[in-house]
Amino acid sequence: MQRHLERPPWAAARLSRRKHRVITIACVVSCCATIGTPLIAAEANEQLGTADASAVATVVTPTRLRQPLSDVPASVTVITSDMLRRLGITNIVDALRLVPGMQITQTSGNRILVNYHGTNSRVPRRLNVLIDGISVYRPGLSEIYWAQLPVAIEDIERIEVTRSPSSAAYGPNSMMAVINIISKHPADVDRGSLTVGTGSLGTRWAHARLARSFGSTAVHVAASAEGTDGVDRIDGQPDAHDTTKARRLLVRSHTRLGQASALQLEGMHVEGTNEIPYKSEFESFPDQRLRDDYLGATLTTQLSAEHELQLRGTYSKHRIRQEWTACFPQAAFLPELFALWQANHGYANAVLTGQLPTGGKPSDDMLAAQAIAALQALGPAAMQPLCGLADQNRVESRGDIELQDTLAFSDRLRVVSGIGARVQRAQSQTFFGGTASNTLYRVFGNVEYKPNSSLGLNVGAYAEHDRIVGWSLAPRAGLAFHVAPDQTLRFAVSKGLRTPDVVDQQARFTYTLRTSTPGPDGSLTPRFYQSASSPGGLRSEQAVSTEIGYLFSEPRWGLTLDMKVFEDRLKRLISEVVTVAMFEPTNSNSTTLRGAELQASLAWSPAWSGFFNYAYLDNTGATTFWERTQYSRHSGSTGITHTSGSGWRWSLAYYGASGNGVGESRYGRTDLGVGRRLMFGQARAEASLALRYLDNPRTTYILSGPVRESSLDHRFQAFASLRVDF
Amino acid sequence: MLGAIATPLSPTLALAASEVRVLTGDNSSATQRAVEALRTRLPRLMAGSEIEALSRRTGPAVYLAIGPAALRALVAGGLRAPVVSLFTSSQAFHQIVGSALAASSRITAIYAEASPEHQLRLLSSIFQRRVSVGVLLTAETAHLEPLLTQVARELDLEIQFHQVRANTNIVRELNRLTAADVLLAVPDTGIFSPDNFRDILESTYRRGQPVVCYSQGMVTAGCLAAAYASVEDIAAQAAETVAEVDAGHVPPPRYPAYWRVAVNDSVARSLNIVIGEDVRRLGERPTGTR
Repeated sequence: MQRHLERPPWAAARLSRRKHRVITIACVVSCCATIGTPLIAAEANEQLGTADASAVATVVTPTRLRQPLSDVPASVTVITSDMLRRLGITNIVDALRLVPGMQITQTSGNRILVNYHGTNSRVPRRLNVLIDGISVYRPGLSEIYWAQLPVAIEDIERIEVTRSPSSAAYGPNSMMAVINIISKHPADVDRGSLTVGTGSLGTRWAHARLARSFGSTAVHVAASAEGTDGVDRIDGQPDAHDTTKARRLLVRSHTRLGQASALQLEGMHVEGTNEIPYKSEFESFPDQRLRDDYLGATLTTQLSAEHELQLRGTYSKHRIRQEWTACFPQAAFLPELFALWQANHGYANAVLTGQLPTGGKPSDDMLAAQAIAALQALGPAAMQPLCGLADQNRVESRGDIELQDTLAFSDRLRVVSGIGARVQRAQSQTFFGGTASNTLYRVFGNVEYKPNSSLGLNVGAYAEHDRIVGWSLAPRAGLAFHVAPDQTLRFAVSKGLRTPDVVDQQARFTYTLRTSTPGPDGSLTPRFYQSASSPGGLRSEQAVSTEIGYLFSEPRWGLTLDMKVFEDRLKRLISEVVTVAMFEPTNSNSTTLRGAELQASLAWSPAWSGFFNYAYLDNTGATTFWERTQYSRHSGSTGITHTSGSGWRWSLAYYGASGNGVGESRYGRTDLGVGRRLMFGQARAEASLALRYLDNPRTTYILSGPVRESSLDHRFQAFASLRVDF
Repeated sequence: MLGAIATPLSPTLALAASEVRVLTGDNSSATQRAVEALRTRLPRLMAGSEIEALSRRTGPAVYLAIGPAALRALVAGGLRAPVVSLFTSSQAFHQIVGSALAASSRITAIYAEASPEHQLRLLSSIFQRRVSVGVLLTAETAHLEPLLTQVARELDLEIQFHQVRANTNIVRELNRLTAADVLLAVPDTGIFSPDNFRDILESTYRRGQPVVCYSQGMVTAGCLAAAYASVEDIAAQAAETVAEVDAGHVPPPRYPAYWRVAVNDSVARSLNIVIGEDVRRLGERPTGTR
């Protein structure tokens, strides 16, 4: 049963968070403005409402203050819906390939490993993912289900990726980076939209959205379904069992409450299935059925042009039903063997395999004698299989409330601060023997100070009290030096944390089989002899990152260029493979990541645009090979897009990663996209065709034990879609 | 010096022939400021808010209408004297004057908003490259399309229009222009109203789409920049127009000849747009002003 006990590997960071809106100081209006000169106002008595200054900004993620790229104390990648459309990108994971330094490995239709700067492919749980401020990071097992994110790509306005530790703004689990997915505002979308698509690997998707406005309230409802048959072969075996499905419902509303307040409500539901392609001679495929719900409410009040309050509450519930048939010898369910395992693992395994254990304590010998006696009492039936349903069912939930205050003291000084509390629960008989919970409290703040037009200073910190870990503090300091109006030098030091997850800290790991015939203990729910309990006492993983960045803008070419050199010192890493048979997480590992990243975008005409992203990464000094299982020394992407006035567009892009990790293969993909936009009265239609060519149809990786392989039968893939907006 | 005084456009000389009568639509401080600006250029003007009082005065006169209410009153008053509309947008001017303009060559205007040409020149200077400009129009402003297209072509800008129907949600109509790098606002009460201006701006913010507007107030409200004519600019041109009228030539309605640039630095910084001093100095100033 060991195979299933591994930590589901596509985990990332953190629990909750919110959207962050902030007052951009400058003038964007405190008073009522008029259309035209004051006298034109007289012509129609046009007293304008004031635009929400906080809404104008390039990025909102790094500090919770809305800031231009030139002011943020971190490197940021912004992926807009327009870029996604131009490049023909149809899923979020592929969009993240545009992020320098983002390491992505997909080993099946639904096992997707995303880690900024890579490291441990088994447990990629060191980045946080927010959707409109709601974290989709599952607190129990530090998982992110990329195939079942609760938002469809058609509903995404932009993705902001803060490429550095962001715990100073979002707390523990935003250890290496934060991915902030911002969905389309209900007021901004068309009244209706329909999309259908299909392509290679049995990929198909459909999306529909309706939007309406009622007075000062704008609402949209979106439903989508998608699925894929996944890869063709796993470990050389055809007909890989990795079909993936997701169905979503998204409701979002925005209500303006007078001139100064707004209420945003959001509900997301996603359900789906993940076929898990790994089984053994004793067990069937442990497929997963997921059902998640997310609720969020954000009330924003502008107390004055310089002062904004935001109250946000979120609740999410994640249910995973994962059951499979297991057939093990009856002996494996002897209570005496269970007791012996808890005392001495080697003794229990020896007894089960008919050997006489030695070298243990007298108490172990006594328990071994009892187990041997029980085994003998079973007689030949001891090796007869006992079949039933094993499970890793779990329900995780998280409730979060936060008050955030943003205050602009002057054009030079802005402060965002807040307090919050979170309750998270994880319920699973298998993992926790019931329910485990934690309550966390936090206080955070960031100060932006601009002593003059050339300098900008950001200092922030996030302190959180975790009932189990205690207090943790994640600070960050950044200095922006505007050497010219279009050039900025950036220096930043930040500390990122990842608190041990609930399994790390509170696991009471046991497998119970649900059988139709009684087990050796006479019950219909016999317990597998192996079990594990968390040793507890783990401390947070820690990353200390130093970066020097340079930002350059050249309007004549529409060029924005961002470069950085960095060093990430990762300490106290919990790198071990934890299974019910081997559950010994420690803080004893570390590694150092050094490198450089470059991201450049060009838009030299309305028709032409391009991009070039590159990351060089050096992962040295890892104390365990696990921290080098996802590691590409060179990775990047480049592309060019063209849109003609006649409605045609095409794009050509390449995405690659050198794959230098232990057991890791190289990745390379060339995409050619063609699209045609047509108008039908008030409706617009866009037909798209995307062709892909993979350099390497094989993906190798380490899951546990030997290197494994997923492969595709063909290097070419094709996808077609049709979208209608009306 | 005498030669300069004797030029046909000299306001001083023009005043010698016709009395300038300023009709105000209200008594607001903004209106008072406009009257004062006019008075610096036309020292002997007569100002009042009652058309009857002004029209009882004798002698040749040129009427200046400050704002649409005053213009409406003058048009309705059926005066024979030339009328110059000031501080009224082109759209409002044509709505008020309508057929009266066709029937009479005595009504002219200096529109309140900067010309589309000036707006596009500003926009071109900000971006310094060929960009795509999106413009929302209604049936009321559809006539601007050829002019904007022509100017855009001259400035090597790509321009796309979307004509909105009446009573539609303007914010949603912006979706038709998402491919545009920048939006150009033209005065059209069917598009920009007090009820939706904030929503429009916030929607463009969310898309990272700057808006170039046509008034200083709109820049204050959150547009990236505007080409606009100040009160003093309008007053200077009004004085010149009065001189033309007094010389026997009533010019056609036109956009302000003098204009300048307003920039919202906060918005520019937030959108990572660097606007240099050369852009800020764009425009035409009346003689003797900065």
